[in-house]
Amino acid sequence: MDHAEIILLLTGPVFFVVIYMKYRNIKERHHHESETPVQMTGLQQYDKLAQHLTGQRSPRLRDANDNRVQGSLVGSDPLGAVSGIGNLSNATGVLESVVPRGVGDILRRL
Amino acid sequence: MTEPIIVDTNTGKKDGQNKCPNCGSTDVTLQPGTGKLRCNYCRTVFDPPKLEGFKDADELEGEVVGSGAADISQPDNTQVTIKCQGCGAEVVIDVTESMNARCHWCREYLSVENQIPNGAVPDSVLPFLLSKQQAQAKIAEFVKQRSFFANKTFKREFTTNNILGVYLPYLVVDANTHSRLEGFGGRVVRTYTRGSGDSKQTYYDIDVYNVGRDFDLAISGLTVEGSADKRNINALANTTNVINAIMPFDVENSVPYNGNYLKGFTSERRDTNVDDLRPLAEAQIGDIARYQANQTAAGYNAGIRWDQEKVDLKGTQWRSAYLPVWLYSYLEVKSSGKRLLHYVAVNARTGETMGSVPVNLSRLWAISIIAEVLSIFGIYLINVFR
Ligand SMILES: [Zn+2]
Ligand SMILES: [Zn+2]
Repeated sequence: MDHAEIILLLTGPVFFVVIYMKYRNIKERHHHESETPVQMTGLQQYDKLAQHLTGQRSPRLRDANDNRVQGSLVGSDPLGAVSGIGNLSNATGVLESVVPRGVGDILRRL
Repeated sequence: MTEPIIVDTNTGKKDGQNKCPNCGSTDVTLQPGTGKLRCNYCRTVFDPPKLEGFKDADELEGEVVGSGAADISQPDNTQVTIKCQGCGAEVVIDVTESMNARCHWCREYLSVENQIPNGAVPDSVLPFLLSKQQAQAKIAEFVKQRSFFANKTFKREFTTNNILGVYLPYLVVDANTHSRLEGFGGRVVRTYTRGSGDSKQTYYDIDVYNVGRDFDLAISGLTVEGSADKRNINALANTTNVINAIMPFDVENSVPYNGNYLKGFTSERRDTNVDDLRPLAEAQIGDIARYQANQTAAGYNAGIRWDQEKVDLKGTQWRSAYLPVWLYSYLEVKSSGKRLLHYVAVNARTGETMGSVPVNLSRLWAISIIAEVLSIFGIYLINVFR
C-alpha cells in the first residue's frame, strides 16, 4: 500500500471526526498560556551545544515537553482528537456515545 | 505565610436605593452598547468609577485579596432584608434569584450593594457590551453553519428568543513572578532520505543544546471560574468547556460592583474560595512561564525538553468579578434516555462565540460510510488502471 491509498482509506473516519468536532467542539478551551497578558523583563539565557544526533527517525526530540499544558480544565491526551478529555476510559465512553451499539464493541476489542 | 493584604471594595456601600446623582431616581440601568449606567428618568449617562486599591502586577509583593473575594461562609443565608429609604418598608431579596427588587409599596428600585459573605457580591463587574440582539445574531450564525448534520428535533426547536444574559463569577489573578527553566533543545540541521522505492525513509540530524532561561514575568488578568459547576468540564456529561473557551475577557476594564449593572440580567454566585483555586492558578502560571520561555527559544524546531521549571511567586493578587455571558442552552434527550445540556455561549465583551450543537448521528454515520465506500472504490480503480 502506498501513501495515497492509506489516505483514501482514512476518508470515512476523518470525515466523521472533523464534522463531529465542528458541531460539538469538545476540545475547545481557553488558551490561558498564550492569551493572558504578560510583561517579561530581565531575560538572561544560555544555549550551549551539547550533542550531535545523527540518523534520527523523528524530527522532534523524543521527550520534548515544551507544548505541555498542565492547568487546563479541558484535558489534552493523545486520544484527545476523539475524546477531548483526560483519560482512556473516558475516551471509550465518548466512543460509546457516538457509535451505534455493536460497532462500539468491535471498536473496543481492536 | 504572612497574612494577605485586603483591598476593601465594600466600605461606603449601602443596600437600598442606588440613586441617580443628578435627579435622585432609582431607575438606573445599563446603557446598551457602552457598558455605562444611564438614568432612565433624566437620561444622564455616568462614567463608571475606576476600580481602586489594586496594584499593577509588577509591583506585587506577598498576597493581596479583594474583600469581595473573601472566603464564603453561611452558604444558606441567601435572604437579605433591605429597609426602603423611600417609604420605610422592609423588603426581602433572595440573592440566589436576584440582586435587585422593587419596593412593593413605593415602586422604587432597591439593590444589594454590601458584600454578603455568600459570594453574591464581587469586587468588580465587567458590564455587558453586546446587546441581546447582537448575541442572538451571533448564536444564530453559529448554529446556521452547523445545520446539515444537526439533530432534527434540535433544528425544529431552535430559537434564540430565550437566551439568557448572565453574569458568571470568576476570580481574576495577577502575579509577579520570577522563572528559571533549564533543559535540552533540539535543532534539525539536516534532513535526508536513505534507501529507495518502498524502503525509502527520511532521517534527521539534530543538534542538541543545553538551554536555560531566567526572567521576571508580570502576569495580569489571569481568569479562573469561581463556580464549581463551571470548572467541572467533562465531554461525556456536559458542554461547559464552550463557556471556558470564550475567554479571555478584557478584565482590565472592570469597574467596581454596582447592583444597577445587574438589572435585566441574571447572576450566579461564586461558590469557591481563593485557597481552593490556588493550585489551578499556579498550574496555569507555570504554563504561562513555559509558553513565554518557548517564545524566547523559537529556533528549537525539534522541541525542548524542560527538565527544571522553577516559578517563584513574588506576589499575587486576587479579586472576584462578574463577567458577562450570553447563553443559549438546549437539553438533548437521547434515544438511550441520556440527557446532555448543550450551550452556545457568547462573550458579551468581545463577541467571541463557541458552542455545542447536537449531532444527527445516523446521518453523520451514513455519509461517513458512503465516503469510505467511495474511497475504497477509488483505491480499486487506482489498482485496476495501474
Ligand atoms: Zn436621573
Ligand atoms: Zn418603598
